[in-house]
Amino acid sequence: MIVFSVLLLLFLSNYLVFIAAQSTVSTFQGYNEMKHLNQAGNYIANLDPDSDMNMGKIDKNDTQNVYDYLKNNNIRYALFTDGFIVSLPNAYDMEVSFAYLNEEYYKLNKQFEISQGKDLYFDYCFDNNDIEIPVLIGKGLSKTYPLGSTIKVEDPMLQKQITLKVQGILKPNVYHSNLYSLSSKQYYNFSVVIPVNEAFLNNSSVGLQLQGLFDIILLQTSKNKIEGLHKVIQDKLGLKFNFYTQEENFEYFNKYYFSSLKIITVITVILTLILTCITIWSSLASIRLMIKDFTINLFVGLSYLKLRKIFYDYYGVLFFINLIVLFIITAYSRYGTWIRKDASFSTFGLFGVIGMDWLALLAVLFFDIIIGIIIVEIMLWRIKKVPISLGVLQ
Amino acid sequence: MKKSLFRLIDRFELLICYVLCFGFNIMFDYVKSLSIDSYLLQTFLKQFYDYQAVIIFLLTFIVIIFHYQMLNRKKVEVYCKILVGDTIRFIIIRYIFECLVILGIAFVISMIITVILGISLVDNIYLSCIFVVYILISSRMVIKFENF
Amino acid sequence: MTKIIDLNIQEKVYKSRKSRLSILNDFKLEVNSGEKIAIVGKSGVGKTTLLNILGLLDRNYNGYYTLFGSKTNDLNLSQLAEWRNQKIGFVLQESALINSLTIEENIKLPLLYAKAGENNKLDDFESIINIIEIESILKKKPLECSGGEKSRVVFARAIIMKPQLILCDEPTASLDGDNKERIITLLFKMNQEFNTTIITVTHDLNSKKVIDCINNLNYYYAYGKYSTANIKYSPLT
Repeated sequence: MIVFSVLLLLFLSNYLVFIAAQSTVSTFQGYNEMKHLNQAGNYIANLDPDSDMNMGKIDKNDTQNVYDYLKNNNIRYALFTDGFIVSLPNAYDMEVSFAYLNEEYYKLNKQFEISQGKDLYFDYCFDNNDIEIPVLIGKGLSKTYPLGSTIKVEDPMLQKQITLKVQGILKPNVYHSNLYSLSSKQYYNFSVVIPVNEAFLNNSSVGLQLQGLFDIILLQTSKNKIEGLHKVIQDKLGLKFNFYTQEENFEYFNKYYFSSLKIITVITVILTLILTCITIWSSLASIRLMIKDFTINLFVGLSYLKLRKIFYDYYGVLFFINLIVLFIITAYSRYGTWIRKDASFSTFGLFGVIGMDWLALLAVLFFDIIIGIIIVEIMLWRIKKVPISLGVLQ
Repeated sequence: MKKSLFRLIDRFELLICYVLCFGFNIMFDYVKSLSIDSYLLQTFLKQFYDYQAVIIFLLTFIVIIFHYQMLNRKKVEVYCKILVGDTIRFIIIRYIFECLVILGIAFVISMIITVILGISLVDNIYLSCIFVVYILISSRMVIKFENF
Repeated sequence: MTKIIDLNIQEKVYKSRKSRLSILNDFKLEVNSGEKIAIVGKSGVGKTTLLNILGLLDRNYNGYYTLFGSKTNDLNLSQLAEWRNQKIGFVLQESALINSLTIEENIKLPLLYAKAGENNKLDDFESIINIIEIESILKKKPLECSGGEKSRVVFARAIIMKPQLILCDEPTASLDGDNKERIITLLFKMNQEFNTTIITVTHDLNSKKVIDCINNLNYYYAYGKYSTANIKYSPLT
């Protein structure tokens, strides 16, 4: 009964540490990714939450005007948008998502690392009759579409048949974090990354142009130019955009992410302390009940050294069980995305378990070692406090 | 009080166990009622309050541990008391009564906190029912100690 | 002499899922007031069970038991408890003490359950601890005391209510010679001063003094002056 309860309490604290470590690692991954984008002189666009949004009223001319303004005023911009689902046969029978980015974004972000092939190039020929675009594909598509192969597909943004040539294969589990929730990310194992050049953008539908604007990053520009753009967007699209500077973005991140991480750490530490205290209390309760057995065993030759080893073995087994259970839960959660055919969250690894999960498990292991030492030493201290005499037995 | 199986430290331990369980339950309910801006914090907390019932149920095992270890320690005491004129029935009644009083105190504390925080008391009422069941089940253990 | 115990057990059965153990078959015991009885038998023949029955702790047997002229089957649980408190003292092995209470609290435990008006027993407390010589350990906890001290404490607790019947279960089993002698002397003193009936169950009835004991529960012995000369034994069958 007590063993089971101690196991459960340890599991609760392990789960807590695991979640906290996973959230922290994921947030830092997102933060590092964001650091590439959030550089001095760059402005990241953000649709004002109070802005009215009526997509139906916006047509291609409106969005094109905005891009023309950018071109005419020599404002360089990094454009990225994704999540356009396309039906493309593949070995895993997953839905494939198309991601679009321009050259500036590709150079700035550095997330789309390749394991095979060559980097993307953007100066491909955009001929209306025979368009062949070099693309990067996720690892999940590489079996069906090996390096150098071509994919004929109707592009959702161009709304015409195009040929995609596999230029490179992305490393497994390439991700992109949400700019405004750094811990949430999607994976590109079943994505096709399409380079967008000026001709592509001009020929694309309003969807790409508008979606691209929502997270557009204006590079090395000035406040004046931004204000002009602000007006154009408001006039042409009827939308209110905010353009945040590096300082404002850092301020935002510090305000939300570091304070959130601080709260998470404080919660984790407090809860872990409480759970550890309860676990120690439960362990001491078992000592109280079994002190006679320990005494008898110490009489017949059990040394404290051996007892310490027994305790460490015992807690080692408990922690091992907990780690296995945590691994199973994580694997179930990751592998579940494969079963649900959730392409954006499906990851490669042992049962889908990825780096951040292993790091979190490592944090749990580290935590377990510390807690194990504390519990065992307290238990031994308690046992040593009882004089080994016939009195105890009586 | 002198006839009780509880010592001051036992009462204190049981009260702490109850307060911890009620406290965690209140904390979950309170966090759920907050409107947290931070997505990160929300996601982190959601992973706990999505499993609130399971976590709280697992936590109530500390109360089972308390009853189990305390009664096991009181074997000799129960027997000695029966020898000198107590009855197993009265020992059980006193045990149940005292556990219920301590549970009542913990419940009142939790009630005050829920009122202050303006959250629902229902979950803690369910929790109290679980504790009452634990008390009744553990009281059956006392019968075993009638013969030393 | 008044007959205070009239016990007739046809059978006492212990049942488990796998086995059924029947002991104390056709066991009869009659004890008069002021007698000192030793019941001797091998381990496992039912000595402690018999003591539990005699001490009103166990009524689950086939037979009848009349104690102090009343049929115990007619008594309710509260009355049984009251009799244990007022009329019966148990001298058990030294482990039957509550470790979380002090020696004084352990000795005074029966007073907690005494009827109102019985508090004059507190006056006896001082004289008992003087006789038993445990003044120095009153504030100690049992775990801080020696085996001999604890045995005397158990004895003090048994006699604080001045019971008419004292039941002993291997009271001296783990004691050395001096302490053994001390407890036995105290028991006899109780018997002589208050005409207390004493029943002891043991598998080793101070073998140096009570020789030729047959280690069989089918025999019980009444012993008078604690010497072989006064032993009389009555086979029950």
